Amino acid sequence: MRLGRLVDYVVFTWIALVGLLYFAQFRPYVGEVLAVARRVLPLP
Amino acid sequence: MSAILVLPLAAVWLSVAAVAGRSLLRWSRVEPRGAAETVVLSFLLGFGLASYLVFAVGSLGWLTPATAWTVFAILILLGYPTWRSPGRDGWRSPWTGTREMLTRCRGWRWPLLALAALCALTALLNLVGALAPPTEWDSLSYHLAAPALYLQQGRIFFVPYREWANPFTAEMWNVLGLLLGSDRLPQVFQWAVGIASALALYTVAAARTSPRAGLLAATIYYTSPQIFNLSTSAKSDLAWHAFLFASLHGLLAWRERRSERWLWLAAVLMGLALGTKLQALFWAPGALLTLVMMQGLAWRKPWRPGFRVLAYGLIACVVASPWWLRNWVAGGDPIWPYGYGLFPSRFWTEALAEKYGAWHMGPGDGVEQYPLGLWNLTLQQAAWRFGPRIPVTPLILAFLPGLAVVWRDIPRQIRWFFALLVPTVAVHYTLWFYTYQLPRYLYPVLALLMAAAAYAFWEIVRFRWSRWAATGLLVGSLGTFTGFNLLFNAQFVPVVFGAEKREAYLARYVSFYQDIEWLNRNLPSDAHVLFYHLKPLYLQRRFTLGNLNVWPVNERTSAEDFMRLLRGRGITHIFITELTRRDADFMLTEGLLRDLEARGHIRPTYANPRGVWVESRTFAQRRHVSVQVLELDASGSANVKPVG
Repeated sequence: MRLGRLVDYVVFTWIALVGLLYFAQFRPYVGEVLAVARRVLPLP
Repeated sequence: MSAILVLPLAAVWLSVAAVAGRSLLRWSRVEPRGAAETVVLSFLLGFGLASYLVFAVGSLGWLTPATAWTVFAILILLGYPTWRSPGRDGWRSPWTGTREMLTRCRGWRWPLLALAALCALTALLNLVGALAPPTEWDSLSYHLAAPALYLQQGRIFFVPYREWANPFTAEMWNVLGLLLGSDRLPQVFQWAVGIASALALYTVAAARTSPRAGLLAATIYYTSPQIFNLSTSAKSDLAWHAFLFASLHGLLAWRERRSERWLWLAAVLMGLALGTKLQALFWAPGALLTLVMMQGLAWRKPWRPGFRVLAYGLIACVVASPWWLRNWVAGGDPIWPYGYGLFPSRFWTEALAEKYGAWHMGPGDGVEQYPLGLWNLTLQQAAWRFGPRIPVTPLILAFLPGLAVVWRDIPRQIRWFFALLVPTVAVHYTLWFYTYQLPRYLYPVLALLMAAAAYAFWEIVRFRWSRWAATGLLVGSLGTFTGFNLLFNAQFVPVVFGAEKREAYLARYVSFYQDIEWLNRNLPSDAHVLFYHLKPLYLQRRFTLGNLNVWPVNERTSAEDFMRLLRGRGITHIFITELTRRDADFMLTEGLLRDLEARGHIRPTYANPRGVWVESRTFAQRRHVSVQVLELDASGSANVKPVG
C-alpha cells in the first residue's frame, strides 16, 4: 500500500514536472502568439 | 472554383475512390471487422489505385482534363459491384459501431464524446485552412508546383530538382485537383487523408488496447500542431502516415486473425507508403524485423517464415517500383538524388551530396543525444529549427513512463502489442536520428508512442493523485493546441468566406507574389524564365529553376560558357532576388551575371527594391528584399563581347 502511494507521488511529480518545463519553454514566444491573436481575431 | 463547388466535388471523388477500394478489398477476400477498419482500408486502397492510374496515364503523356474523368469512370466501374450490393459491413454501420463503443465505455461516455467532438472541431477548423488558396512553403515549392508543371507539359516526367523526383503517390491527387480546375481541391483531398490517418491510428490502437485508448491516441495525434499544419497543405505526409498505420494494422491482424491475406494486404500498403514518401524507408526495415519477430518459434523450420519475409518485402517493393524505376531510368538512381554514391546518380554532384548530407535540423547526432530524443523533442524544442512554432505534444513524455509502473497489470496480449512496436520505433528513430532530424519525419513513430501514452493515461487516472496531474496536462495541452489551431486557421477565414480578395491574400502570404504577377502580365507567352526562387507555383510561364545541379558552374566557367548555356536552353528572362545574389552558394553565378550585365548581354527590365519575402505566414514575419528581372539580349549571338 505504501509502495503504491509512493509510486503515485512519483508519477504525479513526473507529469507535473514535464508539464511545467514544457509550457515554460514557450514563454519567449507568448508575445508573438498574442500578436497573431490580435491580428487574426477581432480582439479589443 | 468556389468553396461551394470544391467541397461536393472532393466528396464525390473521395467517395468514388473509397467504393472502388472496397471492391478491391472484397476481391482480395480480406474481411475487415467494423466500420472504422472497413472505411480506412477501402479508402486507402482506392486512394492508392486512383494515384497509380493518374501516374500511368500521365507518364504516357495523356494528361488532360479528360484524363481525370477517365480515371473517375474506371473507379466507378471498379466500384460497381460494391455500389450494387454495399453489404452489411461497410457503409451503414458507423453509427452502430459508435453506439457499441459508447456502451462498452459506460463510465467514460462524456469524456469520450468530448474527445470525439474535439476531433470534429479540429477537422472543421482544418477544412477552413484547406479551402484557402495555397500558401504553404513546400506546396508552393513542389507538392503543387510539380503537378502544375506536369499539367503545363501535358505529361508526368522525371524533373531533376531535389524533392521533385520523390515518389508522388499522394501528389497524383494534387494533379487530379489541378486538372479539375482548382488549386484548393488538392488541399481538401489531403485534409481528407488526414482524417483517414487519424482513423487508421485509432484502428491500430483500439483493436489491440481499448476503444478509449484508441480514441485518445487519435485525438492527441489529430489535434497536434504538426497535423493541423499538414491538413491545410498539399503535402504528402498524411497519406504516408495513413498507409504506414494501415500497413501495421494489417501486419498485426495477420497474426491475430490467422489469415495470410492480411499479410499481403499489409505488404501492399507498405508499398504504397514507400511510393508516397522516401522516409518510408526508415519504417520498412522495422516492419520486416517485426514480421521476423512475430514468427517466433516458427523459425525452427525456416523456409516458411523466410518465404513470408521475402514475399512481404517483394510485394512492397513491386508496389513502390514504378517510382523507383522511373528515377532509375531517368536519373540513374531509384531514390534520386539520395542514392548518390550507391548508384550512378546523374544530375547530381559529390559536393551537393555532401552539402545536403550534412544538413541537420536538430541538436546534432552525437551519441549522447541518442537516448535524449524524446526529451529534446518535447522539452528542448528551441534546439530545432522552427521547433517551437510547430510544438510536439508533452503527453508522450509525460505518460509513457507510466506504462512501466503498471506493466505487470497490463494484459498479456496488450504487452505483446507494445513489444511488437519496439522494432519499428527503434529502427525508424535510429535512421531518423542519423539523417536530417526533421521532427515531421518522426511523426509516425510519435503517433505509435501516442497510442502507448494514451493507454498509460487511462491506467494513470486510476491513481489517487496522478490522475489530477495527468488530466490537467491532457486538458491543458489539448486546449492550448486547439487555441493555436483556432489562431492558425482564423487567418484564412476572410479569404475563404470572400471578405478578402484572393490577390490581396496571396500578396500577403506568398513571397514575391506581386513580382511573379508582373512576369505573368508582361512577359510574352513563349518566354522561358530562369527562376532563382524556390516557389514557382504561381508563375504562369515556362521556367527552369536556378538549382545548382542543373546549372553547374565552377571557377573555370566563363561568361561566354554561361551565356551559351542560357541560350542553348532557350532562356529569355532571369528572375533573381537579393537572397540569391547574397547566397554564398551562388557567388560564382552572381559574378557571371554581373559580367554579362556589364557587357550588355543581359539587361534589367524590372526592379523592385521592396519585394516581399514571407518568412512565416502565421507570425506575419515579412521583410523587404530587392527583386530583379533580367532580359537576355535578343540578338541571338552566342559570342560575347569583351567589356568596353
